[in-house]
Amino acid sequence: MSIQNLPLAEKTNIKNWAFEALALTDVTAPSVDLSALHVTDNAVVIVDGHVVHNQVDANLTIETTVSAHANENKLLVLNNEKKNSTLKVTVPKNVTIETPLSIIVIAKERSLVHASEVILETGAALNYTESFIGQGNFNANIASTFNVGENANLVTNTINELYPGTVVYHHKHADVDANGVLDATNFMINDTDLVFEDFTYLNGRGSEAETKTVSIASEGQKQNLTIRIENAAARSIGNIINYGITKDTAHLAFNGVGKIQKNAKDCDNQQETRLLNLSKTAEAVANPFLLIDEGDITAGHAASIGQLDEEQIYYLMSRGMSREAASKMIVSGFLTPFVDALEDEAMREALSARIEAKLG
Amino acid sequence: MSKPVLKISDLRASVEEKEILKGVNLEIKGGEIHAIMGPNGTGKSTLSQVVMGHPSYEVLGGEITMNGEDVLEMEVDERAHAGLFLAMQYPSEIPGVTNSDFLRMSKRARLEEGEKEQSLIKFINELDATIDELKIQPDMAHRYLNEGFSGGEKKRNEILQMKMLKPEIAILDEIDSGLDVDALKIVGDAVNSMRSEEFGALIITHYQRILDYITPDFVHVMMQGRIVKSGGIELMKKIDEEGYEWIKEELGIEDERVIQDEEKRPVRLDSCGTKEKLGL
Repeated sequence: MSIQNLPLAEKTNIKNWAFEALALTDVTAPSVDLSALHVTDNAVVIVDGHVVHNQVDANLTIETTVSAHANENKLLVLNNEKKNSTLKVTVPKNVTIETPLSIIVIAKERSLVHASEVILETGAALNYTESFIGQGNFNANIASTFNVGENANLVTNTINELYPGTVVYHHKHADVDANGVLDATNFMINDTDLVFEDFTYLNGRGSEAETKTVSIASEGQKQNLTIRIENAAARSIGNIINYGITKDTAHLAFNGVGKIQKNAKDCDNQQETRLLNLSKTAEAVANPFLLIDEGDITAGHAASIGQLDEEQIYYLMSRGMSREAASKMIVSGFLTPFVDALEDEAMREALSARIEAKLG
Repeated sequence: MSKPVLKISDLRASVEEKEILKGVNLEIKGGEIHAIMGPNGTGKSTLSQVVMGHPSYEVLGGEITMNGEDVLEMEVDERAHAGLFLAMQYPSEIPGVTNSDFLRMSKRARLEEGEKEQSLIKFINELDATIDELKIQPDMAHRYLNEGFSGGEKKRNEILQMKMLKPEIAILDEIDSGLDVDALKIVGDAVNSMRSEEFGALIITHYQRILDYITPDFVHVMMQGRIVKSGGIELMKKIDEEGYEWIKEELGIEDERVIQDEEKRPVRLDSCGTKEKLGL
């Protein structure tokens, strides 16, 4: 069976995007200067499809065979067929991994086509960061699945720093079982066109998920992000937080989808989107959906799209800062609370520097 | 350092095409503390915003000079560099920017090029000492600027900035609203501690409460967008006892206001609207 459909990407026309232009020819294991990266004590580094560093907590199971993705669209089919790096992480039952696990995937001389799977068995706990770094001019296709077992607790940070002239498709899928908790933060600091999907399914009673996503679109970049949380069980709680900045002639669309299934009683689904548009020629779109099939629930959404607040600029200038310095301070402050929530200091600093550079 | 002089001559200004200031004259020199009193809606806050350069106000005529230099030609940051400071009635909240980063950037911005920057340690010591002096919660330095601050905390934070930035002329706009007696005393002490030939202040208030703690050298009354009466401490005392009616009668003013609803800001739910409406 062939699947022809592209991801939905509401509000952005992605029909002619060159998702399939992937450079797949293998390259010999490239040398990489690990000291230039921030490699923690519990980390895996993959460069151009080759594992170059693997030193992880003894309680973790790391494998390279991942289950095939549900073929929801043709870009996931493409990922299944063409992936050149894979990683499966399992945290056994009732094990808490104390040191955060960091996975760094780098594309230097070929496309990054990566599939990962993170499984937390019942009662397990993990703090997991995956960073995708593009250093060459290649398209990328990334698919990650997360399985949060009963009473398990997963904190994930997804950091994208992919580079110019490319088209990126990135799909995340998470299932959360009863009383499981997923706290996901996505930093999309790419210089690419982007379709990003983060779909979370609250399958177990009392499960919880919060998905926070930050994206900056500059120059002529077109970025479409769809964040979905589906309450499939009673007493589940979903929260979506989207923050975006647009500059130059960029287009950035955030689709927030809160879906509550029939019989998911006493559940809650909230979403908030804040977009800061720094240029008259850029386009920022907030597109909230609440799809509710059950009456006995609470749900809500809030969205705002604004420019820099002249009152705030005036306040900072009245203390002696130039208009430029004041604007910069307000814009970087807009994203700071997300960066500050990262546990690892070196990671915070590296990400702040990348955001500063992207904001110019 | 010589004595600073802020001179305002025949200043006229409007907001949203409505003329608010109708010819204000005032001169503040180093060593002097002035108070502008007056009922709500007479243009007091407008005057402070026009001096600092708020973008919503348009200057229709007149002059403002600081140490002889034309303030109206200056950008807002240049006015700060010239030595002006405004403690705002409603300071902005800036998420993600910590109070201490903000202060450090502000201090750094005031340095002339080539001037040696204050060391980080020295800055932190000075900040800690000032926070202590103003009896501010020590964690305020690391909180985001004014975000989630109570009314009183915002006012103390304005005074903290004034002490750290050491302006030559400071304008304090309704600094006493939202402060309890203890906080009023702390703010009063802070201003008094800055008294010198190199520092002048203008205190804008519609109560005289703050003036129990800071004794002004000159007292002015503002009505209809002008200063209609000036005097010394005896003027303040008379207003304290008799209110403003006698001044209106003396000058034949029926409605002293230029703004009908300047201070009618929406009542916030968390400030308990019912109580405010009932005047409790």
